[in-house]
Amino acid sequence: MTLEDTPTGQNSDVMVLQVENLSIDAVTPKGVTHLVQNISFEVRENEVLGIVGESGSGKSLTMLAVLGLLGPNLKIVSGSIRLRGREVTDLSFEEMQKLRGKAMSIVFQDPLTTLNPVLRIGKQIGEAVQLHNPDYSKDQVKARVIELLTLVGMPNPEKRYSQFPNEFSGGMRQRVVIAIAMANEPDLLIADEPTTALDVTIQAQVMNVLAEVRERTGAAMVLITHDLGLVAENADRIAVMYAGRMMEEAPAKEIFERPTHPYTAGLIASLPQLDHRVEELYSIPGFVPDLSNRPSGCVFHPRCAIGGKRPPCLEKRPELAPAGEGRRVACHFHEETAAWRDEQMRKMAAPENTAVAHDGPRKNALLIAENLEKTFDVRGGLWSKQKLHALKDVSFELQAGTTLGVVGESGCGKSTLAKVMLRLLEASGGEVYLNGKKFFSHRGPSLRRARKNLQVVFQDPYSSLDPRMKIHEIIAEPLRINGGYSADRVNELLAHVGLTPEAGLRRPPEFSGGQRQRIAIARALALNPDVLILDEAVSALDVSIQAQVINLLKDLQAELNLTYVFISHDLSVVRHISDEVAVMYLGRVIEAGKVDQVFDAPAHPYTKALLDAIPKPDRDEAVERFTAEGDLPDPMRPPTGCKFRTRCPLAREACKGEDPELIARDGTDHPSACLFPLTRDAVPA
Amino acid sequence: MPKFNLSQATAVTLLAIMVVLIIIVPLLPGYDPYKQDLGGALLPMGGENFRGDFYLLGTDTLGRDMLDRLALAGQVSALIGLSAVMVSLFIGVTLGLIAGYFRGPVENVIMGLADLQLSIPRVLLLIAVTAIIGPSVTNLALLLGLTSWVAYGRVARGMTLSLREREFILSARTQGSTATWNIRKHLLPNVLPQMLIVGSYEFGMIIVMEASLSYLGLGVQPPLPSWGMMVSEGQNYLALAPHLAILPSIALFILVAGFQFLSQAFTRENELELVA
Ligand code: SF4
Ligand code: SF4
Repeated sequence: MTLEDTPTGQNSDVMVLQVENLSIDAVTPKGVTHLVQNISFEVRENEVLGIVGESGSGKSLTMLAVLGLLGPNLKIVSGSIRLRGREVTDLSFEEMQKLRGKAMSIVFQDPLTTLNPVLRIGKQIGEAVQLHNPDYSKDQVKARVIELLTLVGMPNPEKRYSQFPNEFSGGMRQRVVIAIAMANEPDLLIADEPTTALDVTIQAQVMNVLAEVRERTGAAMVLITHDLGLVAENADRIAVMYAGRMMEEAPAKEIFERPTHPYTAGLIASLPQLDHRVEELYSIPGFVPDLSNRPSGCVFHPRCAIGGKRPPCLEKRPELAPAGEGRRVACHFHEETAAWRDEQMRKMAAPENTAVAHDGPRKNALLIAENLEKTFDVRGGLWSKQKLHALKDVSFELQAGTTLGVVGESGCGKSTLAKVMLRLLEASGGEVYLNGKKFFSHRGPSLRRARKNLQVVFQDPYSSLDPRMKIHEIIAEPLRINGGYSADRVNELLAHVGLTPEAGLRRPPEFSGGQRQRIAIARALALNPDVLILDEAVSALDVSIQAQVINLLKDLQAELNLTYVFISHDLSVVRHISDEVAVMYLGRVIEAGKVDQVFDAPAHPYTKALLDAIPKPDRDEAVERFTAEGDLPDPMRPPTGCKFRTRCPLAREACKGEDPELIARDGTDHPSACLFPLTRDAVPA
Repeated sequence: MPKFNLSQATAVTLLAIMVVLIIIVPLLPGYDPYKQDLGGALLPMGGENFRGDFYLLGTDTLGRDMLDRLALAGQVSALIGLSAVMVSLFIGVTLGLIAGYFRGPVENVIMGLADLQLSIPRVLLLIAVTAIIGPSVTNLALLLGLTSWVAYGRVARGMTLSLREREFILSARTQGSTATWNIRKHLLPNVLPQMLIVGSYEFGMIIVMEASLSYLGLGVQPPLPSWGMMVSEGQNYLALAPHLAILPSIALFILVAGFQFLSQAFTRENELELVA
């Protein structure tokens, strides 16, 4: 196996971690469930192994087993785990404790729950240092902590030393967690979804920090994530897991171009693309199997486009076997994957000019937002009240049957925008016109009647359905409120989203996230709305399920001539689904235009930074990334002038004085709020 | 895993004893809590009178069967407890939902009322009011109910505060639902199970309160018995016939403990449901 192009550029054959034939069972009163079956992989010095999988794939469980942190009902039933050649599965808890932190350490997804809220940061890192260096003096510990904080790129380490976790932003907290993990220079770093809770610009910063500390210490890393792009960019090799089994192992750089397992190929075909439009996403049918009731033969066969009902797939479990240079795959028909993939790519390729379809004579806009404002009164000190501008002068127009994508990171005001438009929050200024009529001036019963044209689907499929109601009743609710209930209509709505009437008899806890989101969509459609606001509606779903729901939304739009406001932090999804796009930052729209204009030639430095921050497997290392530095400023005290100037790599003196208007400037074909917009051909390196 | 955990098993056992006492015993032949027999007064447990009648739990100062007296007193206590819980649950849930859903001045008034209620010592208040309107079973149940809504109100308001921001209520609002609709269809069904937990805890508290008042002579009036009253009467005979005071105390303990364990078991169940 060649490791020539490891991100660190170093080569090593020294094994750090060897996992062989590992199987983990859950032992419950209802019986034994096989959660992980026969997993084998190796990690060498300096190397990054990415483990990718959807929820329930067993990826996190495998690494918890390596750390010796499996819960009480979980048992390693077979296999061996060797750390630098030393078997760890039979070590006692105390012996494992000595290894954790020293030989290997972990960075979890949520820094908020990893850090102790009542201990100063310096103390917490110091504890990790002392644990394995009990003879350090106080000063030595402190010096080491400051050194670690500097290592993870913490500005002002001396000052930060004595602060509490709540004084840190999410990205800074994750740096602290990394500092703790690196305190004793472990041989192996396990990062379990280390950036999933972070915004994309912050994710890029944190991944850089991880790469830098590893380069310094030579630690190997296992990066566990659901994000194929993230591993493809940051790992040397990738292991793909599904339903507790390893499907394929391949060099990271090749995974997008040459997946060998049908599952991997399917996943890739269901990802929306950032740099070009695709006609339709492939969606892996069905959903992840219940592990207590595994399909026979190949676990993937009920969803597989290649194997499907072929006898070997139904009968015989494919073993993970070598398939060319540095690759292993568990599939009876993996030679056929390449052809299937090529066909999918052909199908997906968008016919030219689909984007211009809506460019005809401009009809009257169906939905207009005009100068929307929202300020919150926030209690500052004891007496002072401060104003928080959550929305400032937000305007847009939308034609019937089209989609406006609203993108931005957390704190940009996109969810406030949804609530204000839906009148779940009262606007502080501005107006929304729906079908040419003022929506904001309705009161009482007339408001309740007018609402039915503007419906919403929220992000969280768990809290958006009342857990105590049956599905039929949930979908019937809008009809009952407005007095038009019929069982047939409910069944028709269920059919619209691909569910049978029988589903109506069950309750939400019996459904998976994707199914619940379908139910929420059916409910939103019940009143025949003109406009649907989709607030992060697909963000909580696994990749394969996300593609199903996106395709459903597109079909429904074509069928019912729906108009969407699609709010999301995921730029690839926005590109796929939208006609127009608005990019938000600190409550303002900072760039707007046709989706291709904005994505292909971003004018605002923030948009460009967002696009560059998204992990890409085939990033050209020669082209330098355009990055947003630091953190979002305190929204209570935004900077003067351009709100982005504290993070803008192009900021100049002039940017301090003037808050730029959202207009099209020379060299750009769409509006942006930057005094010195990037032009199509003069994108600075 | 056993089918019952410890608190469930304890609750079931204790409450089963109570069911036997206040439901089965009155159905037995010869049940008569009022029959006096001065010749057979103050019989000990398991004693017989001169006619050879057997008294499992002995007799009281007027020669009435202790078992039958205890059963009737239990019925009275349970009735008072249940009605008081129903009254306070109704008031508490209503006020709590209103406060949590509408917020603003309404909430301030209701929560102020709750604080006021808590700041007045309940026993003193009850003594004062009963002294004015006179003691009776109905008055007692009403008074106890009217003064114990705060616990329900606080929990109901707390849950409402978080539920009203949940997406299923937001989405109902965007569909044009009224406040009444949201409260009836979404808030109430989600809040009620928690209220039953509070109720089973409060039930025990109310029974104790009722016993204290009856002990002071301000509760149930003779010849209707009540456990509190029986304790207070039995006190004078502690040396001679200790069972007169001890038996009603034990009965009181079993009932109250039974409901405490029940509320604990409910809480566990609900936690499991939330985790799952
Ligand atoms: S073994 Fe068969 S069912 Fe499984 S992935 Fe390969 S082709 Fe598909
Ligand atoms: S106005 Fe200045 S600071 Fe703001 S985005 Fe443009 S270049 Fe950057």
